[in-house]
Amino acid sequence: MSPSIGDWHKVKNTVDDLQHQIQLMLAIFDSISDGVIVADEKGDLTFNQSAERIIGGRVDTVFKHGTEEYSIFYPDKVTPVPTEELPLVRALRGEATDEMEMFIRTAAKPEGVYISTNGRPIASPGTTARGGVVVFRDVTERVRAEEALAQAFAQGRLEVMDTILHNIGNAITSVAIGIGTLKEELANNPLIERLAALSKIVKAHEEDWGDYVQHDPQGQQVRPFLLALAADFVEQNRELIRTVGRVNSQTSHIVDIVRAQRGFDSKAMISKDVNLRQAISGALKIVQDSFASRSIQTHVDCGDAPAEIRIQESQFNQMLVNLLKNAMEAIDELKKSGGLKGRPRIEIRAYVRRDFLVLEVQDNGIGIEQKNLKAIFGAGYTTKREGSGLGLHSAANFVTGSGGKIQPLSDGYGTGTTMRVSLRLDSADRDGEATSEPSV
Amino acid sequence: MKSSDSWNYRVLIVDDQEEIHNDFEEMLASGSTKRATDELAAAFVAQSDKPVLPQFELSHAASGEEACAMVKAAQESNRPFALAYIDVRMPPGTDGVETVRQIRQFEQDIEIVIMTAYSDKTLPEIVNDVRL
Repeated sequence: MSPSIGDWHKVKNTVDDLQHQIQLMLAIFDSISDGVIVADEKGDLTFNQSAERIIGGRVDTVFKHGTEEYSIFYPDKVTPVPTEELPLVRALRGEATDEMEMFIRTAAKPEGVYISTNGRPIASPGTTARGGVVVFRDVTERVRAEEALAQAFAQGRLEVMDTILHNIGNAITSVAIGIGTLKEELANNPLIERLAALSKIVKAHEEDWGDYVQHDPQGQQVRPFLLALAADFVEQNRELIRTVGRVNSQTSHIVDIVRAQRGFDSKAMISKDVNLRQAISGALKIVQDSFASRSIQTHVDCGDAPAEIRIQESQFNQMLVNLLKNAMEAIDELKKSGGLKGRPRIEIRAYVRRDFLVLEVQDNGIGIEQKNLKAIFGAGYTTKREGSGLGLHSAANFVTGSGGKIQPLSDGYGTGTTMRVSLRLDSADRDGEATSEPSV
Repeated sequence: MKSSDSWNYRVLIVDDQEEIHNDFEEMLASGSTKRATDELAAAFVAQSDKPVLPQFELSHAASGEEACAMVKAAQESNRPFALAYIDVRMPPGTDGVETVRQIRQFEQDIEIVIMTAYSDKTLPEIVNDVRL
């Protein structure tokens, strides 16, 4: 039976519908912001506009290696991704890939682009793959931000390590000098020689001692010499004890610095329970020499802050040191300009406000002008000639990365600054608070 | 250094760390400590020919600015320093290298030792900055 007009209309309508749907699909295909590339069983490619926009160039050659136009690497930017590992090639083999990150450099985008790709084989259930699809998005901004964060962290860490090494270097010099003095005093002690000479004389004059000390000009000197020698020994003993005390105190200082430094060497980014007061006193130990040479007074008040907080220890410690160094440098700046009135002073306060642990570092340094209050956390912002400007940037990255907030408070030039850090306390911290002893 | 009338043992120590000043006191001053038995010993012990450190006269400055002022004042009172030990890192204010450069502008006779536990600059950079 031949088809009727009605049937023909039905077919035409269906074809029209299909065409309409195809156009709609193509419009959707081109309008989605992720890049999509589809390969059929022959390897022919269909791709959307986003795919070309993201990669920057002709997509049909992107996933074919060996072309000079494209280079595809793992995120380390140097190891090429082997052809058989490419998501689309794996999809054609029937394998799925999830969130595989790659770095692609093309002639149009020589600076390169990071993409995150998902690949899926296209197949009916129970059959082998008849094609593959990859969906990918541009993650360059995120990767670059991560790189900048890692760099800021490394730089902040470097600055802390630099301070530590300098302090240890100074302390070791003092220890070496103290030991050198002790060695010299003990090896070439003139008092021993004098005592030996006196003892020899006593032996030589055993028979005529009375006559010798009364009438012999040398004998008459024996009594004053003996008294002076005793005084010399007492004085020398005092000096040696003083030197040993200095060596001892410098050695303890080195031990303290090394102990405080342990909180900085953990490369792991995992959170752990950190004793807040110990962390603050550890950070103060790191900067103690610099503070002492400037006669900076410090005051710590941990108020109702919990004994322990759950945080990334090394980054938290680094943030504390950077805030303290920053406060110290703000005082340096004001002193340099001749505006410092009274003793330099840095106060550290910690307290709980609602769900946040608030940590404040207040200095009586140069202060911040209103217009600069926001700029100070940017990488490279510094008012100091020798500052890298990365210390505060790294501190701010850490705080915001932990879901917290950092605010500079200042009434302007010469009025000092309070850096206020608010960190969210999770349930573990509140447990810690409940079990912690109330502080005074 | 021999000045017109006698040997000049005046030494200036420039460092922001108090410990370093103590170290210098210990190194340069302790060897010349006077003992109560020094005079009387001649009657009992053959005089030792061990070299004894001269009596150094140590002065102390905690910053580059203070050091420049002290060198200037010593020069004007005709009691110049023979030697200065100058630390490189002394925040805040003038660093050691700049201090040397400033001192050299008005005092050429003083001997200077630049010292540092850690330097931000290489030796050629320091030499260039001081413009020796």
